[in-house]
Amino acid sequence: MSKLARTQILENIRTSLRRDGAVDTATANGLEARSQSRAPHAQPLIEGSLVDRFIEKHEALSGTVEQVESWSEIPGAVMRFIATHHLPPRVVISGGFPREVDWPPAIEVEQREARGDDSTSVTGSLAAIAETGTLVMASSKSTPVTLNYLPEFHVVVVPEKSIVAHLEEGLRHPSLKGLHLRAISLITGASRTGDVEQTILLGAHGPRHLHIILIRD
Amino acid sequence: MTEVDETIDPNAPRVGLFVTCIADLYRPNVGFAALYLLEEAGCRVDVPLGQTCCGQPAWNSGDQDSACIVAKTVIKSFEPYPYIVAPSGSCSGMIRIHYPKLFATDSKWRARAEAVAGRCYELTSFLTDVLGVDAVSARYEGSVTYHDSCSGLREMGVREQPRRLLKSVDGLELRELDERDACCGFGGAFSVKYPDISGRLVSDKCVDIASTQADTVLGGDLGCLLNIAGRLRREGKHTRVFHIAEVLADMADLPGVGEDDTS
Amino acid sequence: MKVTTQQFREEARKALGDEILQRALAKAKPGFINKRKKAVDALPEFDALRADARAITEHTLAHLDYYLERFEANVVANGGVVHWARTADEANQIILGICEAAGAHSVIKGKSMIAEEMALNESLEGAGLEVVETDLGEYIIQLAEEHPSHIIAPAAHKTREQITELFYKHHRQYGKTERQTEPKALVDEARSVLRDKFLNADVGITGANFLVAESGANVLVTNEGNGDLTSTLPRVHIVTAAIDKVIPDLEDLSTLLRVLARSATGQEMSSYTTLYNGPRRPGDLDGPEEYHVVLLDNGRSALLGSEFHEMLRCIRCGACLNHCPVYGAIGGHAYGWVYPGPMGAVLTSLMLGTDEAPDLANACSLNGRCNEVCPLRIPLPRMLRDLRAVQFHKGGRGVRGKFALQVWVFFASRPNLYHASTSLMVKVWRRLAGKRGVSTFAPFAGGWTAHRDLPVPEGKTFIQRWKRERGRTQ
Repeated sequence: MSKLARTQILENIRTSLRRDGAVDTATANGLEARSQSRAPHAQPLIEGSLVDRFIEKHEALSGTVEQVESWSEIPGAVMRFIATHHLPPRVVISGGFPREVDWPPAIEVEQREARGDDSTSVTGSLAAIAETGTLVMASSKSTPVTLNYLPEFHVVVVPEKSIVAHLEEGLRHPSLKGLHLRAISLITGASRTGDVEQTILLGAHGPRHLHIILIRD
Repeated sequence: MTEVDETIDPNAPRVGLFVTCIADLYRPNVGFAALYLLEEAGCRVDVPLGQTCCGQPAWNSGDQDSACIVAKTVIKSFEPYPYIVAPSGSCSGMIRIHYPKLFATDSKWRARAEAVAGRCYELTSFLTDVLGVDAVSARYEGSVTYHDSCSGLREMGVREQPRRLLKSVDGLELRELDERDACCGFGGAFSVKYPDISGRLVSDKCVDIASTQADTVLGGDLGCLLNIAGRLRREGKHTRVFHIAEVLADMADLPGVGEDDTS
Repeated sequence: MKVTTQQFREEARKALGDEILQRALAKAKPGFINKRKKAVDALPEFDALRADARAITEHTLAHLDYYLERFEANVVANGGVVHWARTADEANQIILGICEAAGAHSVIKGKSMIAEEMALNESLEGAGLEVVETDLGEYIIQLAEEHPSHIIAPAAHKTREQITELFYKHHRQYGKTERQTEPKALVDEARSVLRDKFLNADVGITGANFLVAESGANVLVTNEGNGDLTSTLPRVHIVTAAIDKVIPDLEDLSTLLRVLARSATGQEMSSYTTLYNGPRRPGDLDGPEEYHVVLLDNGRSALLGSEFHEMLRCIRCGACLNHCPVYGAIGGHAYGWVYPGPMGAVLTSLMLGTDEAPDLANACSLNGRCNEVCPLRIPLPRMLRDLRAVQFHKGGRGVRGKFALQVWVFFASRPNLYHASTSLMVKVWRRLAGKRGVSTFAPFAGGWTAHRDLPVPEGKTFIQRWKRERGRTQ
């Protein structure tokens, strides 16, 4: 059924476009070139510090930020976040931090995918986009995507130097390795809904709080 | 005011005034006000007698053939004029934006339609954008609010022009509506075909008008004004309704739209 | 779903008299308009982006077959399966087949207008599957046994009090026995009930905002994160998408995302934009084992190249609904099918035919605001007018006042006769009205006076006076 449908739909499209068959080679080459050019369309003008803009955009979405000097300060920052929000001292984390993080015994750390009752996750990010305060994450063996969506509190580690200006740079980030990973996530603020009388509320199904640890190093 | 000024400059811009069928039928005063404003601004104004209606009722009902028949009479009458001006965003929009589309498949008439379309203007836009008028000598004691007609706003780009002119009217205080971009629910045949929906839109518009506490509503399209005035009267409100040309020309000395004649 | 497009007038009248609905609509409208305006005003490049967005979609449509084949090849290379469906029925059969093969009992869904178009829930439930909507708005109306009234805010017609009662009635089975009245408490309760549904479902079905030909990704844009949980937790993920969702590449995606969220909710970006490329990779700890994309035509290939092809540019942002005075007055259900508002009036007339939906193209004042706010600059008013022309030439229902038009054209194309008759008409009319400024009846226009009076003419036409006062010097 699907095969016949496929043939017919493509035929209908070509008839509508007043074409006999598939696009000719010259056109196909042109379309390929268009795609390869990677030339962005119009973009919002971004001036000034990317770090400042990223923080400003993230905070405008009720996100919070702590700036630290180096990777060794991550556990301390996570502990402070947990204390501030009165959370159990248990976090589930992703792998793939560029450097090994030394977690103190006071906090229980597991590296795995998230489960329904995990309260807090700590993950890295591939890049951050100053334009909109967006984080770029990708799925992999060591970075299960459930960590981004299931827990109520999500802490993301972002090195300042990973902040890019525009969306296109985030989507074309070299570490996305040809785009064929299962999932590439652009996350902009916490989970929200406006479905009850257009009142914006955080934590609809995903995290109700998105906290960023920004590393200057 | 209705005498011809024989001393008028022969090089003055020559304008064919498209009175619009609604002004012709309902409120000639709007036509004379437009005439006065154009002449005051130094134009030589004619009223071609071959004019009836712009053809919009047919066009908006999907009856292109009829719209073409009516449009041809307008085109023939107005072809000789360097400028065509109408005291209406809707009718000028019909001529300027839609006439060329009417004759998409008739190249001879399309060329004629395009020529007329390119020279057609809404009154306040013509006064300010083309003639450079930024003040009138008129007096209107009271607070007014201004209703932007949808075609004026979106087809003819009329937004600031009427406001600029109103600012120069002595004694007039402009109070803006909350929802300046909202349709009043007129829409020509729409108001008759879907009276319940149209009725809701105009009653919302009247709520907005009331909340400005202005004592007069002005607008650039008589269609909208008949609609608004009709609803205000039904609600027993006494807010006065005039076409903007009547106020700018200092000719708002007759009963407003929908008012009883108490003379 | 039951199609009620024939009853538009009746449904619109009911909606206007429904106080609860009117309250909900009044609450929803200004928020949408103001948020969009703020977002657009803050971006000087917005019009440039719109122009690019329009060019991108036109380019794609002109090469739609190429990009669909390219998309398909990439999905297959990524380990997914692509199914093609000409009609809603075919698409439903394909999905039932996938569910059956997977031995599925329960399905969770992300919000998808295509699934509404297919009446997918009815099909799945008919086959004995449990179906749970996970977008909060969709979930609310599923409990109410209704359909979306807005393409991005499906429960825009529901008040908080109604949601309280729905949850109270349906959540008792989960041990939630208190009436929650605060929005936050309502959202929390839904989160907790739906969490279990997410974790235990066999199949997740989502729509797609875009399909990227370059990589084979389906792009899902949500704010709640429900779409991502639906795409990730069940063993099988099915994406339903219309063929007009495909776009060439990531640069094109970036532009469309920039105009989408701003136009829809006034956000710069929605919270979650995810590109899904297939089933879980070897070694992945989460993600579905099976990944299917169902591409639905349902008449779209025939629209391509027609005078209505621009409708295929639509990215379903809902801005035209939010700014439409008619939608704002009657809400979405009166339109009688899946798509309401201006885009719905066009799409429904095209998909179901103007005989089935005789009023939709006509119930519009042609104020043009939809076209003004449309991020893709779709000429909705022009298409509504063209649909009227289609109807006019076909004749039949929906064409009203044809005779009156003919009479009017007869006069309007004969200026002398026209001026003589109008002079007489206004004279008689004025005489009948006496000194009154308005009348409560309207000759030839009965509907007018249902909700307003009709102003009475001055008494002489302009042309009459002009001829008398100035004519001799002409």
